[in-house]
Amino acid sequence: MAIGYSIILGVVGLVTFVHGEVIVYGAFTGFYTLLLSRGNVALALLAGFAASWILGVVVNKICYQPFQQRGREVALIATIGLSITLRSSAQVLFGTQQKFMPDMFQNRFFALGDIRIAYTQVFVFAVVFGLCLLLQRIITKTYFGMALRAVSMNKKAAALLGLDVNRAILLGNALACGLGGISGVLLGMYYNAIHPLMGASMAMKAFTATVFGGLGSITGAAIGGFLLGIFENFAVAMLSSGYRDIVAFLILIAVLIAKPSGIMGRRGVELS
Amino acid sequence: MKPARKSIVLIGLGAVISLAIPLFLKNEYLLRVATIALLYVLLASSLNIINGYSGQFNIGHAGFYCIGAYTSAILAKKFGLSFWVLLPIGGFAAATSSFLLGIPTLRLKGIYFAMTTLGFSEIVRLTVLNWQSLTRGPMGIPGIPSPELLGMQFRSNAHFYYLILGINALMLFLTSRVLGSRIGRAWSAIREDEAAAQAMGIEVFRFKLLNLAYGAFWAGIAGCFYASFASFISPDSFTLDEGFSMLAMVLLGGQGTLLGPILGATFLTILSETFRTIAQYRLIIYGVAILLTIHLRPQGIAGSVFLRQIETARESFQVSFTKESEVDVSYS
Amino acid sequence: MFPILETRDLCRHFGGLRALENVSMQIWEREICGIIGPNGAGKTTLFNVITGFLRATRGDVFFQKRSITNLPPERIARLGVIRTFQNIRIFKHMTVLDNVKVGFHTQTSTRLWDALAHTAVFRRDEDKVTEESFRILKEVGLAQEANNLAMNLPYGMQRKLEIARALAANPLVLLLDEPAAGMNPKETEDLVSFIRQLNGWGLTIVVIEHDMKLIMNVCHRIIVLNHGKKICEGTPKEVQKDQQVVEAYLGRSSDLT
Repeated sequence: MAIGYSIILGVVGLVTFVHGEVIVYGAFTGFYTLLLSRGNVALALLAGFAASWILGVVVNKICYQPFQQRGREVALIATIGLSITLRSSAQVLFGTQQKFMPDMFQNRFFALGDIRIAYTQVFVFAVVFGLCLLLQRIITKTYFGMALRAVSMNKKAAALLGLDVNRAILLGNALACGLGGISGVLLGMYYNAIHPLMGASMAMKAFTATVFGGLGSITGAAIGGFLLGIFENFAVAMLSSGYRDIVAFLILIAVLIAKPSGIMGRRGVELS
Repeated sequence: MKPARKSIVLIGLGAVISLAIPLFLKNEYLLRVATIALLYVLLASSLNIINGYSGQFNIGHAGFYCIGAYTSAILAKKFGLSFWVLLPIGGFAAATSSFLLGIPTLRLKGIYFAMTTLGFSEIVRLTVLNWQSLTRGPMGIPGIPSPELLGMQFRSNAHFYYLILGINALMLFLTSRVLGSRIGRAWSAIREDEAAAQAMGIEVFRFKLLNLAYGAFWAGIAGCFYASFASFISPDSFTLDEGFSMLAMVLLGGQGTLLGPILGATFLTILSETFRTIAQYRLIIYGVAILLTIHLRPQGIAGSVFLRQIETARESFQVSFTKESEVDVSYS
Repeated sequence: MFPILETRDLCRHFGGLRALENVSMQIWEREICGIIGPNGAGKTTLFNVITGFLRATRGDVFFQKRSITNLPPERIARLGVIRTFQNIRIFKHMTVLDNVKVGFHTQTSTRLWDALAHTAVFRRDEDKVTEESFRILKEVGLAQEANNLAMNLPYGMQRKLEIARALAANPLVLLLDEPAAGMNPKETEDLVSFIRQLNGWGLTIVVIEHDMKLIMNVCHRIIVLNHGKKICEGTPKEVQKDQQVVEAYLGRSSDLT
């Protein structure tokens, strides 16, 4: 999830508020596909990916493309507007109730000493890991990945070299949203439940993890997400569960103030 | 002196209409809506002082609102302080909190500052939610006393309507004075071009902080009013969406004008009240309002000031991407 | 006599790039000093370091014998070192009058309370600022435009407005960064006489310019930078004859002619 965010930040150079909603729409698409296909997980993941991909294209058309000349604040406002709209629409479309994701492993688990590990957890982890590897390959090895990196480093130079910057932004954003959709489905499987409002806090955490790890760095995003999880659990252990979310925001502000480029951030992420 | 006369006529007209509303609006519900609309006028205007005049990008205004409301509610319940004492206290509490936020973060630019305001707003709300010994957490604080003036208790909607109208009038009067002074000019200069403002000797950080505190002060006042008007407050009233709604009002009305937030807040409150039966539709209105405004009329209904194009100030280069990805590089 | 503005061994490096390297120069009171050099010679960087917008890597800047090295820009402006920018940076969405009024910031002392209560301090400040602003606008010929938005002015007038704003800030030394850029010959001519006029009032002026006619016409003294180093200094005539300067402008190929 944080990784998807990282791509958007890096490539488009923008902060987005819509990512949470993208996750939700992906999750619900996956959920309905799962129901209709009687538990075909691969199909559900694919559908979640596709739906979010399309949403990513829409986001690009509404929020980014028209405002390229007008500064990032305008685009940020646009994503806030779209986020509110989509979130509220989600409640209308999918109802306000929590939906329970059918578990393909029928809650089976295996025991490792005293720890019980559900098959679902293993599955989710495996998919995430696989996706990370795949993504890393795409980014480092393919032409598309190189275009993405070039655009994220310097839009002007990339354009001068004849890269189609708009297309790269469009695809990068769509890809990132697609990943968000998959992570939505996975999260639904992991927690067994999905809710139209679950996106907002997740997106905030994804953002924090991304900033924490370093804007535009995929490894950073993964590490940031991991560390954030650890810090949160510390806070829960030491204070109370209510403080879980505060930790995320405190980290966000602290990192922005102290080291805006994040722990793995490359130099020259525009801040000045 | 024509523009001046026009604005005097406008102010007079606005005053007459707003004073007369309770006289022919006998329906209690509608009067309540009118009061809420004015509450949002106050909130949107105070946000506009920050976003529209000094160009800081605050998207977590609900945090200041929350602090004002809870400060006054807790003091009222614990010490029985009168509303009139609490009103400035609520304002100053919010202003003080803005120092805590602003001193470390105001050096950040644009969207990075925006993210910290958002984080601040959520931290405030979550703290209120979790600090149960003080705030009763999710249960909220009920039974906040209503104000009293010369032995008369504020009970009816009309009373509250006139109260918030008075607060608004005071806010507009004082704010227009500040804006017409060297302070207001310094704020606008910072919005337009920070470096040029510095080159004119403006202490950018100090004036940004003053600006944030001044805006937060009125949000705190609004919170104080809300607490005694609703007589019950809970963290649910101070979510991020609340802050986004204020942002939508400011944007729709027009940033950087005094009139804009008044129009935006009134229009959106009334529109969303018409759909009040379905909570989800309410928010859709705000979302769509934001999107339509920035696509169709970025300066807002009343705006003459275009959204600040920060990039021009920050970068010496501006590149525009054209269709065939031809590049048009121009110094700016 | 001591120089009003002086740099000693001033350096500014960007990574490996030496934008300024040991630049020492003196600006004397009441002179008009030109700074010229090819693109990328470090002229604007010099201004930026003097006015505090960039930190000096090494070296010092003195104003009236007092070190102002690396002070924040607003402090330096308050002392009376006022600059304009190469790319016009007026306050676009403010009126012409308000642009100039901002210039008086350091000479006024209205606090929040004064503004809220319209105290005597506020009234004294506003009366003075309004009156003086109109005086300056008249001098530069922008009085008719006072209530227009600055962004609606034609280019040449915007340049004038930026200078007007700088004048309002009560400069002792005025640093002009390419004031004639984008002006037509007529406007440039007006600018020349305007700079002379300002100088006649006792203002010290440092001007970066590519328009050699303007520079040679108006400057008492010229400093030439190339690759961040001062390569020559002297009267316009001396500079024009200097071999190094000719090479800097024409490149090494000058010996082909």
